[in-house]
Order: sequence, then structure tokens, then C-alpha cells
Amino acid sequence: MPEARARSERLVAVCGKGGTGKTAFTALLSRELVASGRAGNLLLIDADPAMGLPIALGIEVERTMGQVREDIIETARRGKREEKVRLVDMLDYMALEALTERDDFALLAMGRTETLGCYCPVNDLLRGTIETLSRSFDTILIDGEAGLEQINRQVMRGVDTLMIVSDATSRGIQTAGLIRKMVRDDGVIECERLALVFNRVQGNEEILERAAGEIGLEVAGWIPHDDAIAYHDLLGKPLCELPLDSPGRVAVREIAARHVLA
Amino acid sequence: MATFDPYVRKVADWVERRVCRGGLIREFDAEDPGGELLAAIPESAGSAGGGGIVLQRDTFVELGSPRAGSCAFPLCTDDPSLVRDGRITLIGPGIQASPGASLPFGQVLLAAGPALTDADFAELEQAQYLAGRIEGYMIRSTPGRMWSRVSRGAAKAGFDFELLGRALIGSFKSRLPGIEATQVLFVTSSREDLSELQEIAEQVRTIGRHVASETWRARGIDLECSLGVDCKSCDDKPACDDIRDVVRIRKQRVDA
Repeated sequence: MPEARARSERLVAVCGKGGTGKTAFTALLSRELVASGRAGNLLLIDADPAMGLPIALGIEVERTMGQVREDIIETARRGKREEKVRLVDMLDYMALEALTERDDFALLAMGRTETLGCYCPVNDLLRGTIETLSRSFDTILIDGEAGLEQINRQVMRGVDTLMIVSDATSRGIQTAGLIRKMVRDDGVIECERLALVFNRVQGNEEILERAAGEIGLEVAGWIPHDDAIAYHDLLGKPLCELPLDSPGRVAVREIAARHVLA
Repeated sequence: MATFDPYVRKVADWVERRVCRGGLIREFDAEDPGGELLAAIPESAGSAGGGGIVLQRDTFVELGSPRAGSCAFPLCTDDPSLVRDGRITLIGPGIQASPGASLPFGQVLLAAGPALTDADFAELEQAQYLAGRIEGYMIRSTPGRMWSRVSRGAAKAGFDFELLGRALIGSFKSRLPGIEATQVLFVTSSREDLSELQEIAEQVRTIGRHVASETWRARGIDLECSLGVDCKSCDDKPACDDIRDVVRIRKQRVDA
């Protein structure tokens, strides 16, 4: 058993406006990290309640951290002190139960939360549990929502690299600008590097690069429009089945090499 | 203290019946039950701390996963004649013979000593998991259930149930010096065998809860009382209170 480290070597989160292809990008990035042979033990965290990442990877998730959260709240509501004390011992068991393991990576899906309410202490508890679990991994890749609060509240307080995915629309770029502000000005999440990835690009690189500069973001990579990705998405086919030389995979491979593994 | 004696006997009867039925059953005797048994573990599978996990890809054998089923409980008695000191019994396949397997897992620890009291049961419940103590042996537990993985490295270093049993015996004795005799039972044979043991486990757990409740009540603490989420300890409480006021005022206006 590798002794638990203080933290993992690489911690990358992906965010951006809805519909820009974050999940497809995360799925492809995970495949390229595995293929590189340099990512070590890889943990994927699907922090988007829509839970598209398992579908994109072609795997089934039986239990989510959202369900663990429900169990914790339910136990707290039952009100027996003894049961609450036992929760401390049970958390790591429940987290491992929620971990879907494959030969080359593991996936933790946050899932939806049915119970209304903030329950900050529960979030703290879960975040601590996830942070402990994640210390056994060398690389952690988080697929997030547009907003960063959920990652901060329920998954991790900070990441090394935040990759913002935008499509070639002004709304996508505006959202990227807002995310940059949330990180740099409002400190919503601790983050060392910000990188903007343009997805489904069809020859407007110059305009997009200028727009990225205006919102203070460096472009980390361009993923061209790829019919094969659209076709796989349409049929719900796992993106790992994409040919290695598909334009999308080639572009993501380059981003992985330059911005994650470098 | 004879609270758990009927259950110690039930476990002994169950083992005897199981032995009569035949199958793969092995018994080991820890040669030096009173000594430093943890030292018997090979160095590469030695003591380690931290909350790391053994990933599936690094796992030699998995024991008691939620799918395979598990059962774990301790028993204690003040009558040392009920416990055969140093005896480790394994019903079912061992670790070295099960590469790649996910086996059901039962673990029963029996401890005896004239000085033991009901109050020691809770301590034994904590001691039974050896969590984070053995490198390459990961344990995740909930009350009564134990899910563990033996890493390929630990298996290669010779880790098996005899060593695990020795480690548990050593851990029990060092944690509770009042223990004079300790016996360990491991079951990996089948889910059916486990379910018979689970019936005993459920009865023991019910008594254990009652014992814990009485023990803490004697110390002036009522385990049955409610312990809600404590908002008073939250730094953001003033802000939340303000926002609640805003919500209340808005609701009043909307309702007006």
C-alpha cells in the first residue's frame, strides 16, 4: 500500500460554460494521460451532477458521493450520537464503495444531491474524505460545472491547473472571463495556472486568440471540430473508442503533453 | 462478566459443525502468543500509517467487498478456559492460494482474561480492524463489516492469514493488557458460511450497543441524546442569519 502522500503530483480541473464540450474534453484528456504512461495512478472526479463523464468513458457507476452525502444527512437526522460517532469510521468505507475502479484509472462521481440545504459540515466531511482518498493517486482530473463553487465546496479547495473550455462563441468566452475573475479576483478556488482551451474550432483562431487576450487568458490549445466526436456523442458511444489519429484526440494529446504532463 | 459467553460458545459450536462438514480448514498456533507478534510480519509488509488505499490493479486478493459480503466482530469473556490462546483458524482458501480472487470474509476475535469487563468490548471493537497498521493490507470498515485488500507486494512478501492472525493477537494484547488468551477465526469459504456467522454477529452487535450505552451512561453521557449540526461553531453564522432575515422579509412582502 503506497503510503498516503500530503497531496497528489498533478491536480487538474476542467470547467467552462455548459455545452462547450468539457466532459468530452475531460474524457479524451484522461485517455491521453493513460496512454502517455506518465500519469501514474489516475483518479477522475465527475463533479458535474449531470454525470456525463462515465457515459463518455463507457463505464457504469453504481454509487455516487451524492448518495454517501444522503446517508450522512440521514444518519445525522436520526439523531443517535452513537451512530454519528460511527460515521467517522464509515466514511472511508463509503468513499471506497463509491470509487469505480478500472485497470488504468479510477472514477469518483459526485452525483446529484436530493436533500435541499447547505449542510456545510457535510461538505467539509466529504471534501476531507475525498482529499484523503485522492492522496493515493498521482494525477487527479476533475470534470466540473461552469461555476467553481461546487468543486471548492465538495471536492477540493485548490487545484494546480484549471482548464477552461470554451467554444467559438462570445458566450463561451464571456463565461471563461467570469471564471478567470472568480479565480483571480474573488479567490473562489486556489489555482496556480489557468489555461483556456478552445473546442470545436473551425478556423477562427486569430479572432479567438485576441478575445482570449482581452479577458487575460492564455490559450492552451485548439481542438478542431471533429465529426467523429460529434458522431460518438450522438450515439452515446464511449469517446475512448475514437481512433487515435482523430483530429480531436491529436489536439488533446498535445494539450496533455504541454499543460498537464510537462 | 459472562455477557458474551453464550456467543463465544455459539462460535465454537459453529466452528465444530463446520469442521464436521469438512472442506478446507486449517489451524495454526502462534508459537509465542505473549511476545512481540507484530514483529513476525516480514519487513516489507511491516507497520505503516496513513490512509492510503490499495487500488484494484495492485490487489492480490480482495476480502469482504460489498459484493462478496463480510462480517467482523470481537467477543470477550473473563473465562480463559473458553478461549484457546494463540489459535488461528482459517475456514476456506488462504491468501497465497487466491490470486486475483474476491472472497467473502469473516473475522471473529475472541479475547479472555479474568480482569476483562463489559466495558472492554468497545475497545476490542476498535482494535479488531488493525486499520493502517500493516503495509499492503488495506482495511475499510463499517460496524460489523470489513472490506480489505492485500497488495501484490504484501502477498509476495509472504503475508497470509497466519501472519494476520498473529498481528491481531499481538495488537489485542498490547492494547488491552488484561487479555490472557486470544483466538482468531477467519472465514473465506462461502457466503452461506458467512450468513450463519452474521446471525451471531447481529446478536453480539445488539448486546454491544447496549453495553456501550450503559458504559457511557455510567460516565454521565447519554448516547441516545440528539447531537445536531452545531451552527454556533460556524464562522459564517452571522452572514447566514442576515440572509435568513432577507429571505423572511422578502417572503413577508410576497405574501402581503
